[in-house]
Amino acid sequence: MEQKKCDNLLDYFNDKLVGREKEEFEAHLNQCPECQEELAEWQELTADLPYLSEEVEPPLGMKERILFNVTSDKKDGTAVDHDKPINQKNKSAETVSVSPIRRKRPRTWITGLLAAGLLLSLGTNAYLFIENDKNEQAIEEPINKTFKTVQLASEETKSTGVASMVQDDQTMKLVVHTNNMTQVQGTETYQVWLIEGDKKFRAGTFTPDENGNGAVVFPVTFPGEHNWDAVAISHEPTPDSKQPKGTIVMASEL
Amino acid sequence: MGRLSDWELYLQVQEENKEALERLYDRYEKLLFSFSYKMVKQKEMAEEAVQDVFMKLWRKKGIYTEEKGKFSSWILTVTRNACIDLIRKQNKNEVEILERDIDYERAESVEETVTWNEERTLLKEAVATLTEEQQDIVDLFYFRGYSQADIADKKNLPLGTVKGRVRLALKHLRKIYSDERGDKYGAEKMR
Repeated sequence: MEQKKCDNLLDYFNDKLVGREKEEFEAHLNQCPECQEELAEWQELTADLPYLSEEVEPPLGMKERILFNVTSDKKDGTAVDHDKPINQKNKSAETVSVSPIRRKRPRTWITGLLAAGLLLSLGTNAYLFIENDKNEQAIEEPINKTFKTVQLASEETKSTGVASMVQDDQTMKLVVHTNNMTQVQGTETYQVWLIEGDKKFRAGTFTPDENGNGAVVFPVTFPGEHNWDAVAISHEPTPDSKQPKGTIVMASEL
Repeated sequence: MGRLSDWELYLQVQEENKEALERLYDRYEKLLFSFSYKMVKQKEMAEEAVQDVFMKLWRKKGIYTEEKGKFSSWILTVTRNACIDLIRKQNKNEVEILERDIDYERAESVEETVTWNEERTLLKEAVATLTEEQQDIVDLFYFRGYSQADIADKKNLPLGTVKGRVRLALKHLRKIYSDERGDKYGAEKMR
């Protein structure tokens, strides 16, 4: 049994153990001098490896972004997060406000679709910004902040929908609600996509109820900064499409 | 301003001294970003990793102590873990890796930046003495943070032999590298 635990050392070193496995290993590590010694050996053996990295110039403005994000909004600094990185909350909200170098990328994919007359975006101007009131102190319940809301509509069917970016205490979420969706058959589903330039990211899957209503709440936790150009819903043959295979039924620029 | 040690700066960071944070940041920005980039292979994610590191440094009191070893080694370990964490999330969520270039320009900095040209040159020479297979294994293990099972899978090795292989490669690397450094500097040079 013990040997089996010792075998986990390397995966522990690579932070590959999660939940109970990790806790069990850490408990074991406390008791096992061999593992402690070996862990130190691995740390020692690998200590120089980072210096193999080629020098890469950090992106313009990175320093300002990071120092701003790190030092502002301290309110959750002490209370939360155990060994986890600070959750997406501050990052997504604040990088939106301070990034000086974000620029719109070509919207080839979505522009192509729009040009082809496949979809109609009704609500591009219906932005809803709610100011983040940082002076609010005494509120226990997390407040959801709505950053952006767009209308979705289909040109060919009566399907409509609303997509909103909402931030709660933890993460930015994409909330999509649709009506009058055509029923799906078999393994078919509707897939929501967030689009950035010509890249499509899966952002939730749903099937409508018998009245054609469907909804998705999707935590937007893709690593890195993103500047979403559009949201789209496609009708997919299976729930597994890594990229849109079916027809785009609705889309709107964000 | 005289040159304060990392530890001295860290102590000031503990006191919420933003200037000290900035100086530590300037010192390590390039190293941490370059290392993160080598691991996550994407600039925005590398930036996020660096941000995670400084979030911890700023917000988690007492996260570093001198018992944890040299500050530079410690912060590199934290950076690596942040990268592994981001890679894990990426594998869960992302459809495609975004490879995009932003415009780069070096911001001027008063703080002396950690540079590692000579270390890199020597390390690369040492790596070149490894077999291709060994280089691969080191890369999968250290820079990509693969589990033993994934390395076994990828390299077609029995699970039980993975650790031995990684260790052998690293020990070899270590030996060549310290010999090189010994020849060249005679003593520890890195800050």
